[in-house]
Amino acid sequence: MIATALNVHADAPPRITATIRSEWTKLWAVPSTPVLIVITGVLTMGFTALITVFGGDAAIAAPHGESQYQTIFYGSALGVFAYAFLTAGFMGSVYRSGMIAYTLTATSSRTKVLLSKLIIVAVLGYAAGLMISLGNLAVTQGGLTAAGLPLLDPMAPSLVRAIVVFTGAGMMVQGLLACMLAVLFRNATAAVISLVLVNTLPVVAAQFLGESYAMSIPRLLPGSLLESLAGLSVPGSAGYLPWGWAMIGLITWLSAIFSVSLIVMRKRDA
Amino acid sequence: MSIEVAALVKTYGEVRAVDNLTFTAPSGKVTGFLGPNGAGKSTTMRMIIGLDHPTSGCATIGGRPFSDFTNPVREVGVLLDAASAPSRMSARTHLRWIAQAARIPRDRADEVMELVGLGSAASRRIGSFSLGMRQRLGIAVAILGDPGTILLDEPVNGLDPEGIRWVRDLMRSMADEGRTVLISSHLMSETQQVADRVVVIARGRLLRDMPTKELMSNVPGDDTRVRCNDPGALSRALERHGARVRREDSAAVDLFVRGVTPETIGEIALQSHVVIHLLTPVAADLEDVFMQLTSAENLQTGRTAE
Repeated sequence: MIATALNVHADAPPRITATIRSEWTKLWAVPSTPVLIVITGVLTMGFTALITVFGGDAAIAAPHGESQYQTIFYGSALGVFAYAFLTAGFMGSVYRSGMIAYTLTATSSRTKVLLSKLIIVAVLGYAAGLMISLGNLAVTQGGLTAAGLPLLDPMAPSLVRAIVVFTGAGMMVQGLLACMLAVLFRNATAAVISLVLVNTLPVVAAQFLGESYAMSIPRLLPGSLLESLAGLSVPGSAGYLPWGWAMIGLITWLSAIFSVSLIVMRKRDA
Repeated sequence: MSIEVAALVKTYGEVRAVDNLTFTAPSGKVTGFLGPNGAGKSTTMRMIIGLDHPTSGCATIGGRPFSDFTNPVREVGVLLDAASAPSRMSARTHLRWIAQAARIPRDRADEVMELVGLGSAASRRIGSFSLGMRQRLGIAVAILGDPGTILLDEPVNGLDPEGIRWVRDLMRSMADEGRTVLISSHLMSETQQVADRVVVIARGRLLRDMPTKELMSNVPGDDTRVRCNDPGALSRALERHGARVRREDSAAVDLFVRGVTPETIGEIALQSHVVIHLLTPVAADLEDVFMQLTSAENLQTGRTAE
């Protein structure tokens, strides 16, 4: 009675690519996904445009002691955390809604499900971040032109490094962390709040905990590591690390949170 | 592939939701999984399909835990909670992402939508579906991969009589094809009509695991139906012996006797010179059996499966 005219029994079992495709379909079937992506772009480029239009020469020109490219990335933090909210919801919503039952009966390997979601988060985050970076650059160049200031050299290696790495890697890394934290909390809001606290509390605490703390701990936070990796931190400043160590730091963060989230996802009842 | 549950235990702190449960749902049969609210049916089914981890014991399908299935959609069909289908997704998209995960052709989604009677609603958002439509969608998900084993939790909730009959016929045909069908339901009458076997649990413990007919015959009905040549005389004689006698109405010829065995009725009739034409225990229906089994007395005495 339920026999099919189609061959539903193919020979090879599905690999992780099948799980990735199904998760991708689920992600874009939800109307809020493109809305949040647009919000992410609007927040970052819109903030940059505001500074460019209303900030005047002092805002656009390179502030003393900071990277000359900081200007074009002022709005990135807003966009990055908007994207983190999307990725946290991508994971947290399946528990809140009960969809986890469908997900885990379609793919019995919880590792495969987690990895598939993380791969999507990483690729989408980096791609969207790169586009947003280019958009920010265009907005900034327009502002510089309008103000009669010299344009940024788009082929300068340091600018290319910042464009290619900062927002893209930021959305990718913070998006991954938010998604993995959502496994622990099973709630998007709690995951994003935790992420914000992880990124900001140690920095806030630096003013109370002495210089040795201030010169060691804040530079190890994900946001600082990303700035170091993108060349936006000035050598000798409190947030600076050589890019090699910054890369190791980010990999350590991601590996640690991934390990915990994988253990929790596999051991805990769905 | 049969479903085997062996010494399954699930505790939540001090609460023992499933308590040393053991049963088998064989292939080629429809097994009804019955119990009052909070008995542990859904918890058991969730452990069978790997959503929850047992505290101890094991649940397997065809001798394997669910986590060992590399393509579970094609081997085990599941309907747990139709209400948890994503409301903002269309029905077709919901089936298609599941089909993608299982490497099933996309067209199969439309095929099962037609099978369950939702072909015209495939493009609609699930949030606009009635309860009955969500149930049909859930059944569509369960049969998407043409699986050999099917677990359905309350499959007829919200369905109209035509839908209930369709589900009943579907389960029967699947079992006749050799598939394993495990259904949990509160509708005793429906379960009685379709289940070859029943597993009855209460407070997480097994009460009965046996063929439906055997269960119905082992638990005697409270009444004995009697037809004789002098109902009035027999009725008075039985009441003198402490039996309770009733008729369906004053014109009815059959007596329904409670409180004495059929053998005793025969002896009393003989002593009263009454000729018995019909003497038969009234078969209890599954609801009566269920109520007896799960009564407080049975639970306190801890009666378990025979």
